[in-house]
Amino acid sequence: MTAPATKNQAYAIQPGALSAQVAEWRSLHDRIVANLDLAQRDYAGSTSYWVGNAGDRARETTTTTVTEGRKITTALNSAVTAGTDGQTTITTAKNTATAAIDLAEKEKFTVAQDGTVTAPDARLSLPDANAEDITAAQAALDATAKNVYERPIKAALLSLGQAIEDTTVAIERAFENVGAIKPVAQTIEVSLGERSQQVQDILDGKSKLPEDTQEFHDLWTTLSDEDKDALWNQDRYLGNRDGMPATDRDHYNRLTLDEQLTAAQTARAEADRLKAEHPEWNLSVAPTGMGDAQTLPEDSVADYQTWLAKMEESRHLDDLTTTAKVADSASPSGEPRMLLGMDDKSGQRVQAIVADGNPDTASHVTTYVPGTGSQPSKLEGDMVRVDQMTAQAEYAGASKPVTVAWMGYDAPPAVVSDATQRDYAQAGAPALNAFQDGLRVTHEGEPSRNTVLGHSYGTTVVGLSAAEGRTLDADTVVLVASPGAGVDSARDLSLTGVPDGQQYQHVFSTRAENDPTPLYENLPGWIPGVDRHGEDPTEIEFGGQVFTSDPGTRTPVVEYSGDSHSEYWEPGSTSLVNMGHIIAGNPGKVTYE
Amino acid sequence: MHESLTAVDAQFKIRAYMSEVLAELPAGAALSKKPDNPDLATTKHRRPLPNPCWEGNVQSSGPRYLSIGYWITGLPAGSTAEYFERIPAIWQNKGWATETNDVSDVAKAKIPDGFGLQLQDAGKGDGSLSLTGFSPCLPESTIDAMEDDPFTIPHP
Repeated sequence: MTAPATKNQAYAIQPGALSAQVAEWRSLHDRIVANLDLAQRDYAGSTSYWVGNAGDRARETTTTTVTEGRKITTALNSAVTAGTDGQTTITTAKNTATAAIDLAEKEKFTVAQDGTVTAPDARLSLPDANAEDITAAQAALDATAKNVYERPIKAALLSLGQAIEDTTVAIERAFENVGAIKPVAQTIEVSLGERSQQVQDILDGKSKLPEDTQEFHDLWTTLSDEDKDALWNQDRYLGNRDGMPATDRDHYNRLTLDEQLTAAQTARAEADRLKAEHPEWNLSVAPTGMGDAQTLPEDSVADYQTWLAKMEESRHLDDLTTTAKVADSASPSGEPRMLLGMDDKSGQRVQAIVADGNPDTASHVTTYVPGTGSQPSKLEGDMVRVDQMTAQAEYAGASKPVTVAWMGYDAPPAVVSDATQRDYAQAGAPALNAFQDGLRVTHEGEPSRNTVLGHSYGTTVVGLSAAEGRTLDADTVVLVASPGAGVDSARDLSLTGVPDGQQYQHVFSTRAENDPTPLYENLPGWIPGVDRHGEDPTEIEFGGQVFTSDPGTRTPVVEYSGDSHSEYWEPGSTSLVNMGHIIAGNPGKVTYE
Repeated sequence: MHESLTAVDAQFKIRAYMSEVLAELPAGAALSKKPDNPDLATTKHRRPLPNPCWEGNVQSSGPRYLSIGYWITGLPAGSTAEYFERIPAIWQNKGWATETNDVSDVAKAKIPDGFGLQLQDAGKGDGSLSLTGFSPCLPESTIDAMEDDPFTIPHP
């Protein structure tokens, strides 16, 4: 199997040592190419002055020599590529591994050579606590050691071992036709991984992972850690698969987040360095605008284009940075947050899904879908709402509630030009629907009570996730300050296990008196280009249950206020208390309009 | 915003107000993250929640106000439900403005200095009560200095 690097190896390996070897190969390649080109040209042109058998033999031999020499230059070129790529990969893997180890050790956890993490003794930090509290604290520390620190460290060490092996193999292959070499990194033992045939076939492209959530889960739960790691090595976004247990989603998404964040930070640092040398540059010059670029001094055009490329590579830096910060275990909660989704490739912005605990073992799971303007760089504010909903559900009697901030879609960036369009919701609805399916499939023990709660444009996503042929696996749907949930009636929503005509018992909505958003339904038809999002769900025609909210901030004269649109999660507010009761399954305690 | 109020000071003051209420309850009563009723959740949040004092999701930084939650434990068996009415009476005796919503089993107290308390019946039929405290808005720069609240606040 692929041998993971050890802790000592992770710190000791010097990827920069490859640089000298790569430079030598590159220099040798260039010199040989130049001489072969010269020989080929000179001998080809010698027929006019070197005639006879001797000249013919010399030209024949030269042709053979050039042909064989080209194999060497091809090998050297491949070796340069393998060495350069390997250096980058090994550097990233080394940095990921050492950062993960440093983090654990900074928090007083002990990391063994193989990545096994041991928690500190809880008694040292709780000298006055009773035995019960110490036992609980030690259990929490042990769980943190295993789930928060050990898994990423072991995976990072495995990735490092894999990176070294891949680099070694690539360099060996480069020289396959020209004799054996001594690869730089051969001192670390590596070998091929122990993989099931089923996974090997997937890696070889002979088969695929199941698309169906349940089938995927059924397969995934039979795989070894080696199989799972190998699949992640092939697809860095594997952790977003619905049907994968939350602990594995969290594990693999954190690995990918670390990689992408490191890459974005590196690119931004390079961009900043270039910008410091050319403070006059700005992004208003189009990346492809050669006309503008040509106005730059000739010797700085290449740097300018590199700067643009690095800015583009690091465009998600803010989203990734905040996602990493939010997903960090240092939250107000004693329970680590879980990164259930991390995708910086599929959309215009990073799509992230963060839970304040493990939904697979929760009694109540609430999926919170934010609206216009939401994106991971603003996740901290949404996590306060998440924390408040969990706390309020606890006070309303839920035994182990977990709330998920679901930013698994590109939310409309702006109110005026984007939130008037339905296509953002239509694009996000299938993913939300699939996420809910996954929650149900991976849940352990008694089924949890699942609520999907949308705010503002998020309610349009929620509504459409239960419409247009889709059935949403949720016990309850909550629509807060909706501009329209994509449908005209609660009856148009399809919920798993809920007979037609009974949806109203499961659909709740609210609006603050001074919140103007529900007036949106009056705009389509009056303003060209404004999509209709459906009936205001707080209207009696919609047919759901309308719970009360405080009136919210009001402004003089017009009374409506944009502030009131965001006051639904204020601690102690009527809306938050009602949300807690709905999440906990106490409809009789909810106050209604 | 209370410019001179730090998060740590507010954290202590919220707990002080909670202790003040606790002092009016029977000697065995305490505040704990773990409820007496095992069907209820051990409160997940060990550190005060830093709620934004602004609205909307355009802004991501600014003044915060804190909220801290506990379960009331150790009330005499069979009489816990009475305390949903008794505690607001205690607040009124202290001159704090109160507001009760019987339907949602929530009562609130507004303290003149901008702090507040909220009492909620968990609806389990046994009168299990949570007590949440709030601060006024304070500078965000002081938030990071906060540490976890104690797991239990004993009867004074």
